[in-house]
Amino acid sequence: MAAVLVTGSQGFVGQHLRRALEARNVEVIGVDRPGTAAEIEMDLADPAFDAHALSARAGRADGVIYMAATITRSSAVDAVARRNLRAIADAAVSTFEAFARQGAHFVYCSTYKTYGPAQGPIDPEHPPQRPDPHSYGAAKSLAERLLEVSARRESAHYCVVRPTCIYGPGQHINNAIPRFLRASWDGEQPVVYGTGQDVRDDVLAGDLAFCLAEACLRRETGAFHAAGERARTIWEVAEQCALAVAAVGGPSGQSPVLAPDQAPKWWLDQEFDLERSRELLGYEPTPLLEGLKMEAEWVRDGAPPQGTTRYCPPPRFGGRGPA
Amino acid sequence: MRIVVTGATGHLGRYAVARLVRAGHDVVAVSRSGALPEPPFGEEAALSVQALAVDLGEESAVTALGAGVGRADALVHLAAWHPPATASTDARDRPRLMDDNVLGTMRALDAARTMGVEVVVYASTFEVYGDVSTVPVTEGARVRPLTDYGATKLAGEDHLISFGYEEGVRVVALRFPAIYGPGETTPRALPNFLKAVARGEAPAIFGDGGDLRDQVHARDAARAIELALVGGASGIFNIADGRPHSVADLAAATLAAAGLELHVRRLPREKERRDYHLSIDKARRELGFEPEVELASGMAEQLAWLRAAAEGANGPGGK
Repeated sequence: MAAVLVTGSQGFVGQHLRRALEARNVEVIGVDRPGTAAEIEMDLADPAFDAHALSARAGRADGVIYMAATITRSSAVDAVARRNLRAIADAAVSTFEAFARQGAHFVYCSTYKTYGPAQGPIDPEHPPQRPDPHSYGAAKSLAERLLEVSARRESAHYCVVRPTCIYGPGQHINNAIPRFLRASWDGEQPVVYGTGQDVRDDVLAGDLAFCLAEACLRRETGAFHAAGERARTIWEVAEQCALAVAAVGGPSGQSPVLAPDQAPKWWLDQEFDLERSRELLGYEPTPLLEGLKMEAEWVRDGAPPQGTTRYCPPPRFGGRGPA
Repeated sequence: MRIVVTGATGHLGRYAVARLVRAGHDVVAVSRSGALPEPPFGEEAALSVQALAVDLGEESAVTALGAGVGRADALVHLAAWHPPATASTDARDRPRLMDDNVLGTMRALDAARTMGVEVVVYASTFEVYGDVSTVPVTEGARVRPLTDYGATKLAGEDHLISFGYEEGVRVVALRFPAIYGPGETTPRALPNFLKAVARGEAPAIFGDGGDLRDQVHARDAARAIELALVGGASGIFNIADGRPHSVADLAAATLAAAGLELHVRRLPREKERRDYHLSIDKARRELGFEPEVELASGMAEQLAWLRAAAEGANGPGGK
């Protein structure tokens, strides 16, 4: 039986990833902060973090999926951002190096926020560079660059999966989609900030888990997108949220409303090429409405932080089935 | 202007502090040691500056810097660490590169939030380009660092840009090539050649020495910093002397500067050939930067300093 180390295993995507791996008959060695009930409780943001100690505790692993990250919502340079950067970049590269020596295949979960402005769909192998002017994209970019330097030095291979905006049961309830769903359940109009014309792409957490699991087990290299079926305006997303709530028994007929004075300060209209993910991972995104229906039921139940995967259908396989 | 300069006792720091003080600015010279920056070789002494000891590699730097400076109009962030070996990718260097170059930059910027600065100038490097094939390379080229140093300096740029966006502060990153001039102690091509010829020996190059390596004299680099501070431009700028120099040409020029009739020694090539030549069109256009120091005269100056240092008349100083 294969074993995969997953950092950030107890978080939002971690729950979905654990389920995807277990469905593939893979033993999950979860790593997360103290108090999270992960198999290994360790603080990856600790300056004293020792990747070799982690490797020794984990024992044999066939793969590592590195997801541990906290989004900094304050300043890009303050103590919180500096702490988060340690977990996102510093600990990621040392974990890669510690596990590369035992032949574990490393998959790094990055973000579309490492991209700059682009014309047309973005090729993950030749991306436009310049991260968003926020610490999260900057820290993930740094991790990718350090991994590239390290892999060349160690003659080791790794893979990067860059998700777009991640939604699904378990996501942060202040984000746009849970807000839209909550409003729809309450019989209110979902409020869309700005013009409603900002283009975005949403990927279901379970779909991201699929890409991470397949990339790791197939020992893929290079960069992949985990994205939705297509990019949409935020207005369309709000409309789909209202439809999803109605489809699972909630109030119907709520059309969104604009709040033009609360426009997002920073937004890039980006589209993401999925060809490589389809071809090499066997990826097929879940239609947005289907994913929103899962999240709508979760929101209806009060958005519980644990047990979020029970709102989702059994994991799919990329044409391979359980290992 | 009241200007905070980090890395003030380093090679570029000393030139930058001297230039800003001469231009009438009030300078706070920040360094790990807290020493007063020595004026560069050949320049008049006695710089009137406030010296402040802060180690940006430590978390305590944020409060220490904020409290030690108070209010300031500008931050010139030059403090950084480069591994002893050129183009090093030794994993053991990474913790210090992370602490000094990435977290150190974040700490300096965090402190700058409390100072109320209106502009930040950051010393970046040509090493952010890494695997680049275009000659000359412009600021819009794809960045793909080949070293941890390049990656950490690029992360500094990214955080600088985030800081500028969040705080509404004008930010400028200057991508410098190798900075030479009296006071330079880094063991890399040009200073190694100069040290050899100062001893009366022929400089040695690897392979045919056809690799292009830009140079900029520390005085020109310091002037670019001043132009970035006082002008209104923001963004990323290459700063160099504007001329392509092959390693072989640099070696031959040091022999000429020393008046030695020797031949450059050739050693087997150890590294893949890489050409770096920076386009400085954007800096010319938007900063009004024009390099003033010719390589030949700049080298002669550095050679004179090396010889003087060898005679014990003027210690190498610097970092």
